[in-house]
Amino acid sequence: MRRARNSFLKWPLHITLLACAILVLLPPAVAYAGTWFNYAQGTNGVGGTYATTGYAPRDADRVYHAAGFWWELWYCHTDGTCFGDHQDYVNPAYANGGSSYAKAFCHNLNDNSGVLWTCQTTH
Amino acid sequence: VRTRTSLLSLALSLAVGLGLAAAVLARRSQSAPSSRGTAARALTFTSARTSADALPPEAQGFAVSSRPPGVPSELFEGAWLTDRSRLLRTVKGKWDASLYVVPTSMGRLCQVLVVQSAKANARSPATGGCVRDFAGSTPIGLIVFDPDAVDAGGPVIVAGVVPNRVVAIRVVAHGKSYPARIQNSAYLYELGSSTAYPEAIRIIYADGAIRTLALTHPRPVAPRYESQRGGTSRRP
Repeated sequence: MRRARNSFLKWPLHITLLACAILVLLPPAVAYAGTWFNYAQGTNGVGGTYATTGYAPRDADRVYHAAGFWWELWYCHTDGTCFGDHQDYVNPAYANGGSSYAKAFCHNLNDNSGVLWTCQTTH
Repeated sequence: VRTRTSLLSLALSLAVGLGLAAAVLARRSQSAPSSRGTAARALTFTSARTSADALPPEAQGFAVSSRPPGVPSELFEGAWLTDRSRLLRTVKGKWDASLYVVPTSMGRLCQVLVVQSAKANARSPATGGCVRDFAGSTPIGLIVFDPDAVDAGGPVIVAGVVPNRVVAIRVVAHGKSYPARIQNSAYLYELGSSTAYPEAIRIIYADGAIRTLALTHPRPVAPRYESQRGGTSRRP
């Protein structure tokens, strides 16, 4: 204990300041952090298909949109095979990709509501 | 003295950091009162909740506790109250499918359909969505889900939660209408073949009224998805 205390006394000032900065910035950064991210967002655009730019393990795929308008969600593997097709008109609509390594898609079937829609997935 | 000053600085920094984190979390959990729903009140249960009602691990990823960044508050469904989830229906066919519901802090009702192949131990795919009020353009909960590849493997499943005034659901496929049994305020119907796709859902109310929800989407096939890979960037 005495040894640790002595070591702490020898800390240069800039190390202490760095530790302070980390303690200030880390908690809010953790609070902001999440596995979800937006891969497409917009209004209207019936018929549009949107996808993540790359492949990753996906826990889920979802779209926030005006209720009553139809959306479709699915995933595709690197070999081009697609699975988990889900159509829904409730908000949000969710599809789960399990533990696969996939690209997530959302497709606007008839949403011309003018309300902002957001397609999200995890990585 | 220096030790005490340093310790004080570190403690103060930690306190400021935690305060900022609390502010971030509080801001994320804000939601507009106007987005409250009534669907959760439409379902009442006479039996006590049991361990079978708990959401399976595969569906836990759906549950949100705060409004996602960039999502308008009026579209946020509220925090999922997973400790109040209920298992409404289970059907064993080519799929082993179970439909759960979870109320949210905003009065909405989120459906979770968990599906597993009857002959495989692979992790269950799942899907779902949240009903606001069983009114207007969303009179029932409705999930149209093909767990595996389209037009191959197992058949499509149609499922959802319904308000008490709905007495029957019929699934229209290949021009014919098939009854989907309602039990515990929910229906769960597995189509007869992997190539069948529902064309419409017919809702029959207690007063005899009938409403039809047309599924206008052409049956999806894998090549269509991949052919649009180049055009899938963010919309302007």
